[in-house]
Amino acid sequence: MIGICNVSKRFESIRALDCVTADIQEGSVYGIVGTNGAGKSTLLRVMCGILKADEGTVNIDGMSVFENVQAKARICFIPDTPYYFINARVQDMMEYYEVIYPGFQEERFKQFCKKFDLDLKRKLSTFSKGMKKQVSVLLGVCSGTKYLMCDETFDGLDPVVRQAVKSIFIDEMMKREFTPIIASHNLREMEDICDHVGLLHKGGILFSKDLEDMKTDIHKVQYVIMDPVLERRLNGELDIIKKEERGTLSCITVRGSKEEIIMAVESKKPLFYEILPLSLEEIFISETEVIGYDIKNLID
Amino acid sequence: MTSKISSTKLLKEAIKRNSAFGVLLLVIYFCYYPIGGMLLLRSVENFRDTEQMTRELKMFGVDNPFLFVLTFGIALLLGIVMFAYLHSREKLDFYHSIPVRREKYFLIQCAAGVLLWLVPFVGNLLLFLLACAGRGVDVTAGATMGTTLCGGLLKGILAHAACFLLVYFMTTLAMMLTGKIFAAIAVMAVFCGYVPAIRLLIEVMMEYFFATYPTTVNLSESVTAQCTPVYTYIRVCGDLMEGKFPMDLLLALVLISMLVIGLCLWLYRKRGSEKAGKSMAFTGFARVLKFMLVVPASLTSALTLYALSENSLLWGIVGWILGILLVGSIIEFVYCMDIREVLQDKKQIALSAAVSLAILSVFVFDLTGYDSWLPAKTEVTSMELQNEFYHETVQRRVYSDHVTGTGTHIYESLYTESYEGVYETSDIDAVYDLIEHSEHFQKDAGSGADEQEQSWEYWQNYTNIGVTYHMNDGTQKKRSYEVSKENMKKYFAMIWESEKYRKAMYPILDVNPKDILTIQVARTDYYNPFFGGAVVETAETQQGTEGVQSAEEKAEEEAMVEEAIEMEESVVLEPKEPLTESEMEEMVRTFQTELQNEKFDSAYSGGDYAINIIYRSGNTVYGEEYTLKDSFKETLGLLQKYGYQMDAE
Repeated sequence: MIGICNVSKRFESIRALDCVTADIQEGSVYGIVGTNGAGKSTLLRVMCGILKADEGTVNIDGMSVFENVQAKARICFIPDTPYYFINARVQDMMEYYEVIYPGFQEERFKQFCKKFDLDLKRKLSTFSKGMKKQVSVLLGVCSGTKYLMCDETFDGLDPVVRQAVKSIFIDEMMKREFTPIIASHNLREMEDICDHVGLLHKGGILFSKDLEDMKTDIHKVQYVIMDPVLERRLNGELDIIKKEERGTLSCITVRGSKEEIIMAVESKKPLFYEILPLSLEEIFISETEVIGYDIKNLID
Repeated sequence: MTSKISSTKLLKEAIKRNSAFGVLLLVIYFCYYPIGGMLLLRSVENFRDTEQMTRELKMFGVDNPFLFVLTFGIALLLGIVMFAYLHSREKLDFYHSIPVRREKYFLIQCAAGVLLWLVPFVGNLLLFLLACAGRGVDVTAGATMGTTLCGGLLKGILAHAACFLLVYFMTTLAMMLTGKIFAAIAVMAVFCGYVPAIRLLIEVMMEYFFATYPTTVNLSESVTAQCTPVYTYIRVCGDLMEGKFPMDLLLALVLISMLVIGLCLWLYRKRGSEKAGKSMAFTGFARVLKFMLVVPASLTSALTLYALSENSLLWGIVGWILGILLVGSIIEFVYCMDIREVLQDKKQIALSAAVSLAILSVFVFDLTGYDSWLPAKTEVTSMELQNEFYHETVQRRVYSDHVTGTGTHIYESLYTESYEGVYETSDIDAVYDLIEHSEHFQKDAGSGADEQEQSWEYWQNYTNIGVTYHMNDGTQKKRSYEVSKENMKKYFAMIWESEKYRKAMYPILDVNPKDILTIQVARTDYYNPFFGGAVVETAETQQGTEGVQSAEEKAEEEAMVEEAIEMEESVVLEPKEPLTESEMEEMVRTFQTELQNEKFDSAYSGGDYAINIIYRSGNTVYGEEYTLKDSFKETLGLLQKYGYQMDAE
């Protein structure tokens, strides 16, 4: 488990992280979302021991991470702009990772490279931005570390590769102890991979919740109830977060269990009703509106 | 999962990543040593003298300025290349995220840098040594291990290594303190030149503002002026070229290098990864550095405009303001790269201005009373007096003594020793009389510098005297005073004519005439008639070594003697017959007597001839050159008596 406790970090007059507290459980995919400048990269860099927190602690499986080789051996960091040695080929980087990470899976890396059509002998400087990202992700996955910190990793990957990487993550999680932590400003990108999401805003975590919990607790219902009295009664019975009306068609975002909501709607004799799937973005909008933020301004 | 990553593997990787630099060095040293060395061997293998050949090869191998410049440049470049990662966020993120302690990674980079230079250097030097041995040079020939070619090259490697470490680690420190390459280069320039520049500034200000400041201080001998890696390179190279091995200095360099690297490690722990890309990694250091640069810069600009405007205080103030604002703004711009922020640190501008103004005031208004200082006689134990005008500056040369197989001595001039005659006396009343009649104390008040006419006409009537006060508390204080020639005659003549003063000024007076080896006489219209030549002194009896000399060696020596005689004959006057020992003794004794009895009135007179007296003192052969003034009639008479062609051109 990664324990982040009251972590603060300043860059001269700018407060990049402000008392961030979160726990990242093993075996889940944790997403850190937030706008540009929210502090995602800074939080990741503090979690990797690159930056020293001004206040607070980051523990990797109970060990403080900063300048702790044992704790760092459990982490691999994939930055938003991967660094490769001058004139290095894919193979050179693989060899370096083998030196640095004793658990590096060479054969698996070679298989991945073949699958992704990445030539081991080719110079990385001749690769496109997306290909460089692919190499960095594959190196990270094959490093054999327990935690993989990805900073805007999916940004720049084409949809096919993105999907393939997600599959690799899931596959790894099935095979061994593996916990990816992904920072991104794009909620849609993280929707189908993250189990747990923390929303970072202005250096602080607005909230951190399990996606499944959020999905079971919030629902979107579209209905037509002709009797305004019944509709008013329904609105009174349900914990409505948001309501939109287009003529006789109403659309509400409601907090509560699916069964209770269906029972309440059906009892008002609707002409038509249906439960709509909620996007991660909508869940976030709903959740953050409750705590007083207009999320539309916080996420892309 | 634990990680214990092998340092050797990391070192190998570090070297691999910078192998391009290593290959470049390999090529450079290969072109120089084995290739250049083979060419050199073609020209030196005809040398008969093994010692000379070894000297030439050592000079080529390690003891030459070009190689020291190369070592300096490589150390600087490697320091930048190996620690450039400190200036890049991407690189720092990468290296600081891997499970290797920062200190360990840092030390591995250090070691990789050293090896990248050392291996090509030593490897190619060994090839050169093998080439020498292959061409028949006896690389182990020499009286001691240190004098052999092997030993000499080994010493050279050690010297270069110590010099390399100093600059390499200083560059590392500069890289550590900064976040941008150009800032690191600027900091390195400060490391190399700051202390000597400050020393020079103080010297110039003291000299400019204080009339009594002695100008005899030799800056190059000042410890502060030597506080630069550039000086250490010059000194080590110079010592090696002279056949000396400066062990103490090299040990000091290694020690300083270790301290610097220790400081780097300590700073690395404090240095945040976020400092990459910022000009200065430590805000505190940046502020101190700015202060340390702005204050002397403002003093320099104030002094420059003050001097150019013929001591106009207004222009001095303009220079001071310009220095504060301009230099401060440039430095701040380097720090933040934003023209709008160059004057934002008003507190520091005010502090720098206040400090530099205070320093300027001390000099301009002599707030410390430097110029007006004259200790009470009771505070002074003794005094030293120096005046170069009223006695000849003795040129004392050191000669080598080469004895040929026929017993002929060839004295070859090696170098000139500076002889500064010092007259120390406890009879301070006489010296005080002189000082009190100096121009400085004759004037009513104020610094003399801006009042005196520093023109040629002025110096026709005035001269400088240097005084060292030996205080009761054991300290020494030096001052310089300008005295009119009239007062010199009045108050200095008595001191000048005293036996003690003359002995202090002219070391020849203490030489026993029996120790004289030879005498040379020349006309004074030749510039430096005795410099650089060799003196041949033929033995009266043949030495027993003749038998063991080969014909070739004999011919070589004869050529050497002939060459020396030719050089000597071109300027030096010859007696009819070579002087006997007793004649030389008589000549020197007569000269000593006349020099001792010389009167103050004739001090400024000249002469048409000069004498160079070569004598042995302990194991050293010295030669002292004096003008034979027209008043030295007996000495000149003796020269004529011995058949020197005194009228010859």
